[in-house]
Amino acid sequence: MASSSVAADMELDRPNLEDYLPSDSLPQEAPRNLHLRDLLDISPVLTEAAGAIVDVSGSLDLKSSVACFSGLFGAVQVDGRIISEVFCGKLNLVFVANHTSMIDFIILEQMTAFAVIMQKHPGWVGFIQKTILESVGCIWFNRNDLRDREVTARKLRDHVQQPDNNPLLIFPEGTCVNNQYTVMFKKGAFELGCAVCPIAIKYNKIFVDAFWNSKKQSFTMHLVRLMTSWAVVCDVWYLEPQYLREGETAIEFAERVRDMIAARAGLKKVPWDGYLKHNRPSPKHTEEKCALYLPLPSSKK
Amino acid sequence: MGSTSSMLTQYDIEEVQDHCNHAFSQQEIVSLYHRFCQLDRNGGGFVSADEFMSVPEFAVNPLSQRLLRMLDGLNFKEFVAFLSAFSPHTSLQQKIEFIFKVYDTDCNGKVAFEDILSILRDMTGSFMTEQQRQKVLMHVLEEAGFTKDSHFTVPDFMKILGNSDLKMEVEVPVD
Repeated sequence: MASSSVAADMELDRPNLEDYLPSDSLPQEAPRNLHLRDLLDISPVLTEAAGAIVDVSGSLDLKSSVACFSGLFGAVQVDGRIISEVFCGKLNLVFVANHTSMIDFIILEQMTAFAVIMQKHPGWVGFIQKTILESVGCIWFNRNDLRDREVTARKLRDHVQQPDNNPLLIFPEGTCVNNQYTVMFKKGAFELGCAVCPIAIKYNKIFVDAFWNSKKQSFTMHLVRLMTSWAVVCDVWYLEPQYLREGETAIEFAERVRDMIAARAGLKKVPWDGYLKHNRPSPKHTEEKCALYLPLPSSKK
Repeated sequence: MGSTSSMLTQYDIEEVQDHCNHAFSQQEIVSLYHRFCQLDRNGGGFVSADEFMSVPEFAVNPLSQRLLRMLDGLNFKEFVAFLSAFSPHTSLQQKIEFIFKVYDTDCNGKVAFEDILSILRDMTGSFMTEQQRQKVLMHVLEEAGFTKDSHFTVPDFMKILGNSDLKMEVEVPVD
């Protein structure tokens, strides 16, 4: 496992942000401070429960759906460090990168065992990752460390070529965003010299509205076993494997796949880099970071 | 109203409506009655904990156990009164009182550190250690001017939650 200190270097493949920022840039999401009222306000979770009780159109089969309560969390600073980010049950699935990426993994893990390479985040998400991912073989690398990049790329290429290894799951956005948008895809995942299987994931907002609506989902995942305090309903589409075309650059390949995913899941495309969202101070302890990779069509499941 | 009757008379509807302070319209009450009968599979006149837990979305709710304590054995009239907290016609004050009741498990009118911690535990499950939960709760309490030994009453909750844009509403489907 490669461990390294947190580097301040920008990634080589990170595009020049000014080229992509629209003139009226979307506001960044600053880490919220958590207040007592946030903690005490369990109204969204209660609303969900009441909605379930009142739903007259027939309950959804538990095997095919699970409801989502997760949402807002804020940062609490104690002793000058962020020691924990409290997971409160507000239903508005907010714009929280770390959180969403965790759910994505859990959803897909239910369908097949992926070898996961995950970006390790500070705070409670890192804590969750440590707990849940312990059982899955991981390849860790520090995304920000340029030295590691070569080593990791090689490790990953080796991994994908071994037929016995679990398929790799990548989220090339590098971070996860509000489930309304797909941000620019990092090209790294598209340079491994293998097919890319796009997976489109769309969370169903119906379950996060305060008004309960009993419409059914097209495809839903079962997560109760992993999540005692929250669960997710979403649509997951496995799209046709894609290959690098003649004369296509990695970036163009990335954009093409992103178009497919955005179209399938009905997401808007935004040109700005997902990393704009990362403005959290990092904790002092060393971190091992990784990325998620997409599964290969030929890999064993 | 009759406990085992499966017919809802106009008189019953009006009685139920009064009991919930007109939080629901008569059509909504009829709708809720259909739902109540759907849930009350053995026709006992009340919905048992098991019958509530057979609703999947309810079963996976982190606060389901707490709510069950409040819901178990309610007849239809009380069921509607319980749900009235989620009506758009109910005041913020009443909604906050309902939330307070969820916290106040021993029903003594006071919510303590342990009570809040307990709900936090239900909500965060294994995603936080007990230590982390306590630290965060302590911090957040202190920031708000309270201590670990503080006891909250309904007026306290009103002060804390009263200014928020708290929304707690459920739509009762009406044919």
